[in-house]
Amino acid sequence: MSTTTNGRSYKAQKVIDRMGQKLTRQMVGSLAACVHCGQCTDSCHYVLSNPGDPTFAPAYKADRIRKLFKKHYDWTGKVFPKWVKAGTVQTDEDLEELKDIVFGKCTNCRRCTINCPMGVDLATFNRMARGLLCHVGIMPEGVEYVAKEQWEIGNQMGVLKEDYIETIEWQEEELQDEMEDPNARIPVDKVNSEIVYVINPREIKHDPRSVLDAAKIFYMAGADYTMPSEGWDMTNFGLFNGDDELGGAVAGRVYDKVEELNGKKLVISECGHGYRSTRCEGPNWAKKDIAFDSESSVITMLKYIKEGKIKVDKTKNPGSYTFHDSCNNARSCGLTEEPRELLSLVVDDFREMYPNRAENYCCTGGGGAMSMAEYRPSRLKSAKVKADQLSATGTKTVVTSCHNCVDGLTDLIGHYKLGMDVTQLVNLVANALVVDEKIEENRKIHSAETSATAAQ
Amino acid sequence: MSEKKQINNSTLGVIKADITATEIDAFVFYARNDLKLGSGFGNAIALRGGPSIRKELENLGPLNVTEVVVTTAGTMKAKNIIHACGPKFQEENIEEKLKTTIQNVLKAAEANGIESIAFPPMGAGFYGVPIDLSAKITIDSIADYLAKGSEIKDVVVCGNDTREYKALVPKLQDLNKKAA
Amino acid sequence: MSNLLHFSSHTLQEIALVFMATVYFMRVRWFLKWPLAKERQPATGMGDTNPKKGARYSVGKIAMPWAMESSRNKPLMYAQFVIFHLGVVAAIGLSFIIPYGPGLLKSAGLVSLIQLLTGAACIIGVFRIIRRITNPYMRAISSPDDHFSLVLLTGWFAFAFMAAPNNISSGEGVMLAYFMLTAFFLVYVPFSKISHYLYYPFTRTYLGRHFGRRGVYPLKRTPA
Repeated sequence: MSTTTNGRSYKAQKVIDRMGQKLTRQMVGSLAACVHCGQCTDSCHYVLSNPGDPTFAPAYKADRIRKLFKKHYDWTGKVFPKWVKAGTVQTDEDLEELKDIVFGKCTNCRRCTINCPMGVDLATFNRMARGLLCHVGIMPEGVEYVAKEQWEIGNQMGVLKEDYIETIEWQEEELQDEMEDPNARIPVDKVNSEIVYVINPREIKHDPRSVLDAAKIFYMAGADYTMPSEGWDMTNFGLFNGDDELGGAVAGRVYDKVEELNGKKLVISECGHGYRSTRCEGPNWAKKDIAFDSESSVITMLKYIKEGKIKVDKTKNPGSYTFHDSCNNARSCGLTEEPRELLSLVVDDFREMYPNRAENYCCTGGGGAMSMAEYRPSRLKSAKVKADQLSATGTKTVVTSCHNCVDGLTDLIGHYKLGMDVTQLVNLVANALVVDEKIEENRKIHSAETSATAAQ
Repeated sequence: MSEKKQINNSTLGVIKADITATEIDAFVFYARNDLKLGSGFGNAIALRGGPSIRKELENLGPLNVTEVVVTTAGTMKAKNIIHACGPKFQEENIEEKLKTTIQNVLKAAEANGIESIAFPPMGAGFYGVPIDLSAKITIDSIADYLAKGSEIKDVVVCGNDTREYKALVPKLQDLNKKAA
Repeated sequence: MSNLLHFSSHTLQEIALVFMATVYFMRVRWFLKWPLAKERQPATGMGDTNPKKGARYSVGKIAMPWAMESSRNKPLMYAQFVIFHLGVVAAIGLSFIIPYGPGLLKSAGLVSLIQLLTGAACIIGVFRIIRRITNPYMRAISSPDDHFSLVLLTGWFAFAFMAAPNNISSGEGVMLAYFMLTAFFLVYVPFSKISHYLYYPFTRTYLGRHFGRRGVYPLKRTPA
């Protein structure tokens, strides 16, 4: 470990120096204004699931970062360090310790933020702290793995271009079979489309059914859309590892492709952090004002039903359902009402969970936690409050609009043996589609074409 | 998208492409010091190149920063991969180490009879070298090397996306200004 | 009134006030030098809110205990918060009334009100000290400044309670202690967490604008 002239490790010095470059006035306000009132304590799922351990308290965790700010950037801490608990990082081990807090004890869900009387936004400066550590190469192995995939392959699951295209072609064949229409297409790189549809790489790698379901909905709606061959990953690990450069690069690839294709609107498939990153944070990170519209596929699907472009039959989705609001959708993007409206159109028995909307508990796998294997035992222990919340709904299926939440919830449902299923709105809408008439029409066209060919 | 410049008997160009899918004699992989392929381009090498590359690497390394090794490229479009252990994550003397790494790559290429080679913007992206700095050092270091005369005929620097490509092009254009 | 009490209640307070204002000015200037993060994103949410509406809601949230789970679920804590801060207002007000408008204290109602507020705040202060020491969560997050500020305020409330009748017939000790404490307070506050109210309008406005633009504030919820 190399050291600087003041005896501090080289990396620790870099972290301190970079903090000064990354601080914004909003963050400084959050760092300076905490009065340690403790009102945030009970808002955190880590605290609620680990009673008696104050190291999970949001204010406690925030102070591990705040002490650096006070020592190096706030003059009260410079003058009276012990009085205000200012402190520093001296060694690489100190940075490792900080890593376990900012990555392992917080999912950046922002529940404490909305419960702080002073308006302290811990999640924002926790993200900054993650970024400071990643900048000097200190991060959980899983974070390193995924971030590198996204930087270099262009998506966070390392899906190669040929595999992406092949999966779309496979789903296109499925679409043709299901709709009995050999001309049904999942267009790729079609210029001047009304919609450019971007997805989560998890859909290609683990859940191609979602691609097919979306394609069915677009097909039934007669949508003019395309999927891009590059810049198709709307997720963004920059949100999780605090790397604004990665955030800007990934979002920029999506924006560049939409512009290149001259798409009119960017539609973002169901993913909380993807929606937040691509629609909300991306323009900030990429320092780019976006000239085209963008929306969540939840809104697109809802419009299709309201405008009569697709018909749905809610009896096709029997059973009881509850809805889990993704933190990024609800607490950071205000996407709370449209998913409920859509859900109530495609299922009969919808029951709210409590608390809900912006006050909902995190799926406990947010903030990139699903990629950090070393914290899994702690994550699942801390999911107790979420498990209790799900269980109290008495439903069989939890619906969410986020792939990350699907994984987080599935993991905790298995761990706590809740016996619930997890699904997304796109799956329920596709399942509820009234397609019989269209298929019958396709059959007639197909048989007429076949007869005409035979006659020739 | 591409731009090119003639330096002695060699050309130095900038393209926007996936470096691991490029048809070329060799491409540079910014390697870890334990030579494990890992994720990102390493994953692409493992998937597109097959298991032989990993097997070759088992007998090589670990490398010190700036050192390089050459392997075959398995079933990839390229014939060889030059695994270059460049500096990472804001380590000390990053610029000097980057320059030395690039020189070592070019020397290894000549020693192995490699005539065309693709570089990424060295250290940019995951390893945290700012793209403008990386683009400048990568282009300038290659140009300096080629200016002394080299058996390497074609060198390209691959921008992985428009952002990287747009950072590389002006650095290549700056060479003309310098020459003027 | 002795010269010492007159000095303590007038000149000393004025010097302390000027000092506090100067430090606050420097503090705000320092704060405003940090760059403001820019929001480039298109507005999200149902379209029924915007940054201005979000900011108003955010700043006003302090008076809407139902709007925040942490207040909603702990009504007693919220009541304590309100009384404690009203006690601060009463004690500060008293430090101006005694030297500059002593006639007002001829009103027994006003004196009783000040005593009610400062007395109740003092009792709450004692509860808060106990909570901060005995609750493991509070102890873990507390700094020496947190403890000292709370003890200081609680003591100050006690002296304000006693000083409210503005009666020096049985000695000037209480009045002197109250004004000396007030002056110390004015000098100490800008360096302590008590100065949080300086940041409050900024932090809440920034957060409100952010959440308003994103369709989050005002919060929507279905109560259980």
